[in-house]
Amino acid sequence: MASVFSSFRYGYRYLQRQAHEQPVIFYSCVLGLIGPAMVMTIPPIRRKYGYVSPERPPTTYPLPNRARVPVSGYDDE
Amino acid sequence: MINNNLILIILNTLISLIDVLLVLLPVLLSVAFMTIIERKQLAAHQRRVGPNTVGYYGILQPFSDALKLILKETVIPSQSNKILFYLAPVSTLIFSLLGWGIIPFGQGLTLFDFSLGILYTLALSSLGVYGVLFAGWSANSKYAFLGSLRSTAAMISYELILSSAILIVILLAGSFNFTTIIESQEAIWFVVPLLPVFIFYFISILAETSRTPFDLQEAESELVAGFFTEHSSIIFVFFFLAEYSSIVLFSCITAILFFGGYNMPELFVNNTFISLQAVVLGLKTCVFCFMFVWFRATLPRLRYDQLIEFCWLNLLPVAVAFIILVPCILVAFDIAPY
Amino acid sequence: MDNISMLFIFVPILSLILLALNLLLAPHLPYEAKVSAYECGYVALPGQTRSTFQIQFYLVAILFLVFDLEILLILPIAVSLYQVGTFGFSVAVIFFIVLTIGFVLEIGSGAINISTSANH
Repeated sequence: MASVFSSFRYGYRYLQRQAHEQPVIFYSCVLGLIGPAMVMTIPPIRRKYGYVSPERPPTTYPLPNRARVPVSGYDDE
Repeated sequence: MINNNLILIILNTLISLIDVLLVLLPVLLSVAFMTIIERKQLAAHQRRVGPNTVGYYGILQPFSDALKLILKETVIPSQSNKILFYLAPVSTLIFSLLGWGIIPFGQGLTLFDFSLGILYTLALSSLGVYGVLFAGWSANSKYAFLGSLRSTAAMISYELILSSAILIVILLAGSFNFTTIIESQEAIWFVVPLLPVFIFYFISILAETSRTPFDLQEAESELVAGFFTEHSSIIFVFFFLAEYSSIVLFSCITAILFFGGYNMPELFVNNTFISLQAVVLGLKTCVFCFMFVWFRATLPRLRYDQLIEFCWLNLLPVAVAFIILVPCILVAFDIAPY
Repeated sequence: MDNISMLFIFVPILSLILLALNLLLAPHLPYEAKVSAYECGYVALPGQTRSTFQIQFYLVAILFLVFDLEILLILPIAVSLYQVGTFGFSVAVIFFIVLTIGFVLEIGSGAINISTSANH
């Protein structure tokens, strides 16, 4: 039990040991954690250096530039 | 007028029949030649001559083999389930040949430009498992039964890796359609950004077609020929054709998903009227067919528990990590396809 | 009729033609030793086939069912990553974290350990 805690105490040495003992699991975790970390950090940095994300392509027709006429009744009445 | 309509319908049917034949006959020929390529290449790896009597350099060997097997007697074991015994090889052949319906051989040169082409391919490769399962169950022989169990477990395990690798390709292309995937590789082939994904994709298609490092169902010393131990003559040909057809098909799909399909880097200006796109796709397919045989000549066979644990404990964590990593990169750099 | 339905009709017909060719051209002379089950020199014992088999094959199939379903659930977001934006993307990441927890549980419970269970 003591060995478990002491291995946790030396975090870096614990990671080194895991990378040696179970390389597949270790590097999968590293790759999987790099992803969300990139999503958190990279867009603020890019925006700071003046990156503007491109305009989204339109998904509807442009709306007419005037007040909407409220609809009442039926056309065929 | 009704007569006119009838003529039109008949003409339409004839034209689509010709289209189907234009795809299927070359496919069956290429499958036949794939068998002779495998034998000649294995011979070359082992410094033998290989089959060299039938035709020039033995290139007619597959046709003589096929004729011989058609003329052989079909032995149906008395204890077997007759309907399933015939249904298994027939269904395997059908499902592996149907996959050719959506392969684009050139711009617009496809039987069916299906918008969900990837799902169609995945579904057919899943259905292929049923043939194996039926064959082992219906033969009622313990070798066939054990072979089919092993084969089924290996195929479904590696199908997971296959579908997650394909999922990552779809993330980059943004479409299920094969033509769109090819068109989105005009700038760069997907193998360059996705090299690790390509590696585990290739491992998984080796296991899906049960080729050598993973051909556990026919570990010759243990299980004779695996799930088709009891099958003979034409129904054996069906399994054989299905296996080699799926090898060529998966080579073709590899070329399409990772190596730009019918696209080619513009090395020269093609100003003739002949389109080289189908030739380019064929050459890329040949490279992967070569690699299939090369692996067979090089690698030893795994043990069964190693096979399953390699899939679940090594490949699957890596695949899941890449499924998280690749969309994260796409979102972080704002380059998701639309 | 379009090409793909023609393919769906033609491929089964092709296999039936091959079966019929074999039926027409091949001899058919069965006798008892020929049609018995494949064995190494002795008569196969009845009841040896279709017997119980190792539970691991079944477990692999069950795990495959769960995981393949999860990957198929991810497929729609793969084609609509741009449209769903950051919100849909974060939902997908949470989904995958849950999936990973389940996967760790399966490995930890030893569901995939074929070699250790074979040693018992």
